[in-house]
Amino acid sequence: MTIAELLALLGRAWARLLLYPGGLAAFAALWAAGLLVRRSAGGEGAGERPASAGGVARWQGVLGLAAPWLALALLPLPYAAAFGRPVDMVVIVALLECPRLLVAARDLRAEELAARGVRRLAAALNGYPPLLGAALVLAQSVGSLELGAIAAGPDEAAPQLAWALYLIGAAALLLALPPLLELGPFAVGGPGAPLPGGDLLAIGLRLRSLGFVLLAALPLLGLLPAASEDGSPAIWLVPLPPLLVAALAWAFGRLTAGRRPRPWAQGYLVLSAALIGVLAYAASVDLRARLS
Amino acid sequence: MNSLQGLNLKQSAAPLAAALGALALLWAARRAPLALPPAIVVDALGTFFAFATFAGLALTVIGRAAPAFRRALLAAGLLAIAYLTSLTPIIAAAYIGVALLSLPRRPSGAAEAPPAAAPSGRRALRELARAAGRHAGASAATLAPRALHLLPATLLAVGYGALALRGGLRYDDPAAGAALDGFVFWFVLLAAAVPLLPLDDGQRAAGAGADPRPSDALRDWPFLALRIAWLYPLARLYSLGPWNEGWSFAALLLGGGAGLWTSAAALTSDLPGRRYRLVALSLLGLGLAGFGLSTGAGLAAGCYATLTFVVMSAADREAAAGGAAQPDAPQGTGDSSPGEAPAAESMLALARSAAPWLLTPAVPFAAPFVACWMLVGAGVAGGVSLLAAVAWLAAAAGAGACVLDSSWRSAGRATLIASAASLLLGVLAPVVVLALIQPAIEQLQGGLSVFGDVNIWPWVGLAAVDSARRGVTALPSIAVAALMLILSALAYLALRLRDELGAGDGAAGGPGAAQQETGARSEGRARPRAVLSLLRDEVPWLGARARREEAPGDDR
Repeated sequence: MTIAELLALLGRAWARLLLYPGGLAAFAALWAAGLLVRRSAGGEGAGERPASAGGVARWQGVLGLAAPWLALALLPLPYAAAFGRPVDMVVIVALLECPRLLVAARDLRAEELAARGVRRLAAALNGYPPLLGAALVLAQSVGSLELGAIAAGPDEAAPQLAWALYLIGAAALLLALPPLLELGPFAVGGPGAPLPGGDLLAIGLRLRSLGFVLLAALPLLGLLPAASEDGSPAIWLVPLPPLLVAALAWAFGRLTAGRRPRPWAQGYLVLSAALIGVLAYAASVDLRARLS
Repeated sequence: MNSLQGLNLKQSAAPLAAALGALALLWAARRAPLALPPAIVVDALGTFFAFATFAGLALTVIGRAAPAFRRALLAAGLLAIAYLTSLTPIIAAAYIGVALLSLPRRPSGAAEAPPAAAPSGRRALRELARAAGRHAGASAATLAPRALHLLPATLLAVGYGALALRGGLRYDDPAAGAALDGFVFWFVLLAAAVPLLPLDDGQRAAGAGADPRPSDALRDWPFLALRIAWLYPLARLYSLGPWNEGWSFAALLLGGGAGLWTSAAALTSDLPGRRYRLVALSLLGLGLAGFGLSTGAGLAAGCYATLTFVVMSAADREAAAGGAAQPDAPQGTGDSSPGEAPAAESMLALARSAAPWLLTPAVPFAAPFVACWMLVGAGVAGGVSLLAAVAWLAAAAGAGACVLDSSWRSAGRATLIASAASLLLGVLAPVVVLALIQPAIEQLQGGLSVFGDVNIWPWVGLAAVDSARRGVTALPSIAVAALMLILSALAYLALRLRDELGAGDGAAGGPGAAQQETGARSEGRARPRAVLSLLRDEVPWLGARARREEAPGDDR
């Protein structure tokens, strides 16, 4: 790999950054989701009026927007331009989490928003164990944490255990969404306090939610029947899995709104423990196969 | 750029020169160990550790003068001898010297209390007994950390002593591999694991209920960077031959356990500055686990974690001091300092505000994140997914702990330098691994297994591959950083445009932003214990439900 290849790789990425999956497509999806949320019972963001960025907060807005935007642009969605190099789930999750951590840190530093910051951080900490458990179960099934491999799913010749792990991982990823998206019992709530970094950080938080929805939909996209030579499904089928995931997440949020978070957090802890058990079992099977 | 003036070049010159010398030796020995007289070995692993040790020391003292610098430099010199010799007794003796040099001094507040006027009779006897008990307790409290500091050196002396007695007097002797057995390994492993414990003498006072004394916390700080040295004798055992599965498992268990424990402790600690040190130590624990994997990817992760720890320890002093950054930090946040170069001041304020984030696992191209990412990849490639889970969770907990940490607000000079080093180390990870770590992996190949390796794309990034050379994880760090730069420029343009268009609606900064700015200045006051209590309430895996104290601004 030379610097010329790097420049070519960056040059080819413009469509991903500006059109699809990042850029225009992502912002259009946010706009449509915003319309829907506002129409349904006021929505969470209805009363929120982000503040302008001032002084030091400016870099937070910039980073908080650019990181999830980049994460969306790097997702291996069908019909996206080729990127040239794979990216794994650890990197994408870290990019997506940037705005939430920035907002939590700022909330914690302001006395009157500290409780909100704690709730946001608590939702994150409750969401990480099932998220990474699900990601590692998926990785165990396909042998890689690279998003392309996870989206493609196990080979057809793969043993049944790999398929079982894949389905368990996909389901667990879906279940991990509520704390990640701060839905239902994990809702941060509170008045629509202005966000540091102004509009950019608010948009970054929404891009982040979109990113996690797409991430959870990746295994489902891999299960769609291929309609072209490169294995992509029919174009009209592509929006269905993300829409299904978003609808499920929204329904969960509506049904469990106002519940206390702790019992749910304990449930997620049990789910994480179960995923660790699954991982340990799969690893022992792997080890036996390696030794035999 | 006032903060970059007056660097401590006087103290940092010697370790910097030594680090450059080690780098030159590493370059010379990158293909094969240099042919030198017997008992002197210049190979990639030794020179890598020498570079990390001296670079760490230079980085630590370049920001501000160090009180115990001469002792630390002497200790680093002893370590250099250990790195460049193959005589196992000399290595053990050098480490004993380092342990003696790094013994913590008595805390400044531990002066003997003047004896009270003794009453007479039985009451006097009772008082005497109580005083004797207090004295014994105080002596034990002073001696215990000293003994703990000497423990790793003692364990190493036993381990390497046994190795020498059983025929492994020189580790480069072809017959030395036969001397490596479980007894030797366990002692060397424990010697590597004990320094991963948070032996912070400066924080004990705070733990006992008193305020933390920055002077205590800072007294022996140059030795913090030298803790990486304890991993060297363990990694050196790969020169003797491959480890068996039990040894690898034990190293994984100890390193992963220490990493997870310290990162969780960072999350639940309510002492200023301690969180940051614990996050750094958790990386060192993960580094030990990486060495325990016995694979190329694991060794790369371990070596990279040591470099990251070195960078983080350079900024630790300010964090441990709980705001020692203020003296050389301008008080403004970008809107002050009318007059001389407001744009430069504004940039500096931005850098000071953003710099601490680059020393956390929260930012994807900073060194701490890359260190955790490498271990996740090495874990999955080696078929140890649970280790990957531990590394990932430790990164998440470390990020959370840094979000919670209220001890440092505006970075001082040392933190700025460490942050820049962290960014360079993270973005240029492929170059760092290629130039500094890959030679060590190649030279220790005889002791490593094939279950996991590092694939380097020099101008793009890194990937971990499994035994079939299939990609397991991929971080195109340079490409991602370049794309991030482009998107940040776009976002900044959008922000400026919005400010221009919204200029009529109100002053830039508005009431909300003003509130945030004042919030940022009046932080620290967020009552960390109450915050922690609230967090424990909602996150069951952080431990038992704490008694709920005043909840800060609870609006539920």
